[in-house]
Amino acid sequence: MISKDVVEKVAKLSRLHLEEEEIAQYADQLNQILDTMAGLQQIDTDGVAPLAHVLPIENVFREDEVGECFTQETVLANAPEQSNGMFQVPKIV
Amino acid sequence: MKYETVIGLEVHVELATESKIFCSCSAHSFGADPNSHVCPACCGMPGMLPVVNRRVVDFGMKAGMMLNCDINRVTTFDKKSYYYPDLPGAYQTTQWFAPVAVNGRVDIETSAGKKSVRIKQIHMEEDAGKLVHDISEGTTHVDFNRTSVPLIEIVSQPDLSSAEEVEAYLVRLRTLLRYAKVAECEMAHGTMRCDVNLSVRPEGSDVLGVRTEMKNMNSIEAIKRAIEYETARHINAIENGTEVLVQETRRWDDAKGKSYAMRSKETAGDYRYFPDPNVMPVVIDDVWYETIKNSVPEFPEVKREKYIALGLTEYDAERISESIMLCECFEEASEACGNPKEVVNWITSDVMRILNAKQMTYEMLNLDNKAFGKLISLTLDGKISRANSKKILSAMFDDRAIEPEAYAEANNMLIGEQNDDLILGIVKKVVESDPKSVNDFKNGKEKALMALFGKCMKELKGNCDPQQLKVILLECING
Amino acid sequence: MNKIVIDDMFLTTDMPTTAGSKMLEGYTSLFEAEVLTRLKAADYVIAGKTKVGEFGADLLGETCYFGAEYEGETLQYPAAAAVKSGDAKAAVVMDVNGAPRRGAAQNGLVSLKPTYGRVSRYGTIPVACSGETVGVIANNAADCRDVFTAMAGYDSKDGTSLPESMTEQGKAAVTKKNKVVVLSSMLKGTDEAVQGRIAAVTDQFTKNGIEVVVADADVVAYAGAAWNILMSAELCNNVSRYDGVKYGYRTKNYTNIDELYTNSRTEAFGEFLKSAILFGSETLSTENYKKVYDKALRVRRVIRDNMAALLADCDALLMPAASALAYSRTLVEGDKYLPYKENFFTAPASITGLPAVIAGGVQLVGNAFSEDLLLDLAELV
Repeated sequence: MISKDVVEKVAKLSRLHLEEEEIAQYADQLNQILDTMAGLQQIDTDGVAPLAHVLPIENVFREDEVGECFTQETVLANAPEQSNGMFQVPKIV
Repeated sequence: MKYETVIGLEVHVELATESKIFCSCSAHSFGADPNSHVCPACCGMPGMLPVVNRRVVDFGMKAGMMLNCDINRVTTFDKKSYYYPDLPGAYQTTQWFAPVAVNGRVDIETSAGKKSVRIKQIHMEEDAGKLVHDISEGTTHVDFNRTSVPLIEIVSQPDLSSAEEVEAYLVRLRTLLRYAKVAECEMAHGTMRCDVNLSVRPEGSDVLGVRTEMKNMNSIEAIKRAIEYETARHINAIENGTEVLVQETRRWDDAKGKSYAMRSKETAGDYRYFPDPNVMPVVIDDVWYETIKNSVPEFPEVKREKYIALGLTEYDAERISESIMLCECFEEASEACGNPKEVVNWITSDVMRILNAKQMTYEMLNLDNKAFGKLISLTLDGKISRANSKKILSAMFDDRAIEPEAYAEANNMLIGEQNDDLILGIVKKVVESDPKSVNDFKNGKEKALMALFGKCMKELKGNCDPQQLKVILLECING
Repeated sequence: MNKIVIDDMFLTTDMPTTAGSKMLEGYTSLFEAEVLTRLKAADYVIAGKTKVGEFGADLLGETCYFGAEYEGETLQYPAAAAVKSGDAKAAVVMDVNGAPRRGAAQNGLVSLKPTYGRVSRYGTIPVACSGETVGVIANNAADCRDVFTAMAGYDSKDGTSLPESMTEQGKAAVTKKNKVVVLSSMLKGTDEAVQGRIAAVTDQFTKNGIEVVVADADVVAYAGAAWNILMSAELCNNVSRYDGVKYGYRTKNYTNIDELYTNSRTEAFGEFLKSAILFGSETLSTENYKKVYDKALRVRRVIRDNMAALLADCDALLMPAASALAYSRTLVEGDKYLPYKENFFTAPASITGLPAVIAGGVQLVGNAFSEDLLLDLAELV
């Protein structure tokens, strides 16, 4: 059961602002999603290792070689606000 | 009451690779324009996928071996989420579930004696960018040149108990990682950074006190000052109730000599780690493991003992073994010229003098060590004068490609038997031009001979075996 | 005519890529998706982009910030509509949560979701990286095959790309069994029309000498639940990069960095995406990781092993792609959780990385590397 407190905490963690009624609404939604997976706990996974990658591939590397970077101008092309070749944000305290 | 300080360190070290950990941008942007060493991958744009730089794993393993760790043969990368403007993806790719190295040990020695500091783990991860604060405008600017530069984080157990021990530990860590040639470890450059976890408890107690974490120390001296300040603050709080200690992160202000609580992240501790689906597991087989194992250098103590056995003084052996670059210079040059004692003399005099004059550290030594050994041989064999060999060595510092014999020949510094006539001609000229000195010498003034000798040497531009010159000069004077 | 359309999930340098979100409105990428480079090299012409739901994770594009597409009162997947109308020979799509497969099935088109790792994801908007794949929708199996062939293959820029040697080995190991298994547990909740399609395709196979048997595999029915956890968590992490600092939407309403983050994201993300972010974040919390996320990863292995065992002696698992052959506006607008429910049918292939083909309104899930065989079967439908 996901409480309104949990929704509030998670929203804060995810940098989302929720109005009071939204909190209740999402708590309800999240619980519905949760219901769809109640059955998972019944599947016996003792001795089963987690499967984070479906492919049997390992050791994918690149060699330590320097390639081309983008220019400062290109990197900043989509920046909402910039200054002196850098992305600009409000003062970090 | 007597108190003891309990300290654990988290040390971040930038690995000395050419390119970044997950993309091919250059990892070296010291002094470069902001955001000029950046691609869509390392500035958090969608669509680029991480591909691991193999050398980062090589270096991570090697660092683990230097610190006596067990190497995890299957090591994986995970995502750690938090919001901060210097972290462009709002996640850092790091190692949480299976770090490359675990359960290590670093041995240190202080005035309190010998001690083993346990290493909990070493994990590989990407660095964050840099924030530049514009106080007048009240804005912060973000530069992503440093994002995704490879780091290892070395996490110690809380086995340290004084500033002196912390210093010994950091110096030892630095020496070992430099020995392995995996990192520069220069705190002033930010290539080694250290967070201090500290608590205080009554001596003999086995209950840990409230722990604080301190950041932002830029030198070992600053770390020592911070530890002393923080220890005093904790004891004062416990004894006098001056304040209530809370578990928090604090920022060290070295100029003020004080630590300040940082704004607590309301979300601290919940980094929501999970395996990075885009980075496949790294599996270290025996061949790879052994290759790295075989590249691990001898430890400083082993080298020191070896050098003493070669006839070096304890003082010299200690000095040389301080740096892997000096060790290699000594060993390779000795092999080339067969005279270790002579080599160490050259290193401790000429090499160190030139380094000092050029304001270079031992780690920046970039001589062709074999050629250096050959230069010593040529000098010992009388083929190059001592004075000229110094000049040649200096030139070899600037140009690794210089081959001493060829260089000496090209610059007329090679002493050969065919030069006897040349020397004789010059000596005759000098003797004829200075009859006063010749007479003085004949009348028993030894100094007069030195004056003549000096004049000859100057005319010869130092390009002469002093013994040979002396013989010819005496022959000429005495007829 | 080699005209194709692409989902608005593929990065392009000559037009914006929005992923259906206000967050990326007007965003133009600095580089191009690998599949587009390959398709252009094979003389395909990219005629335009088709709309997707926010970050491609919804039912059929209904959460698109730029508007959902309805045909009358029936929700329509824009990429499928473009193929059906004849505007394009094929659509190159991003299968995050099954939308392209549902879209193809409901329009009677053929669609391929290849084996995970066979088509590069370089330059696609990342959402649920452990299972999402680039796919194709076309009018017939032959066109699907052509487009797939043009864009498949190893790409060193994608660390999850299958090396050619593995692909060749994998393809060689695929043998034709002339047998298809209907998973009865996957028929749950389907309407009569869908059941009718299953019966029709079964008949078609039988007529062509392919044996069709019914089997039960309860564990496969948990794929949707497990995928909801993995997909939401990965989505939450992948969209955390959109914070108003580097590109994309930035709120006008801020005085400090936290407000910049929070208001940018709150104003730009839609309701469905927010629910996925919240849920995904919660599954990864310290309290839940072991119980929820790690459990889902273990269940994923159980499902994969189970399906591999079923596929050991047949060519494909026959199952629906959706519970219905059309979603009405009333249904879609009345149930915000449909994407989390309807992926019951598409998640088995998503979570295991196995290939799937849609034909005749049904879904065939096959062994890894069996794309050719699945498309052969599709030609019989």
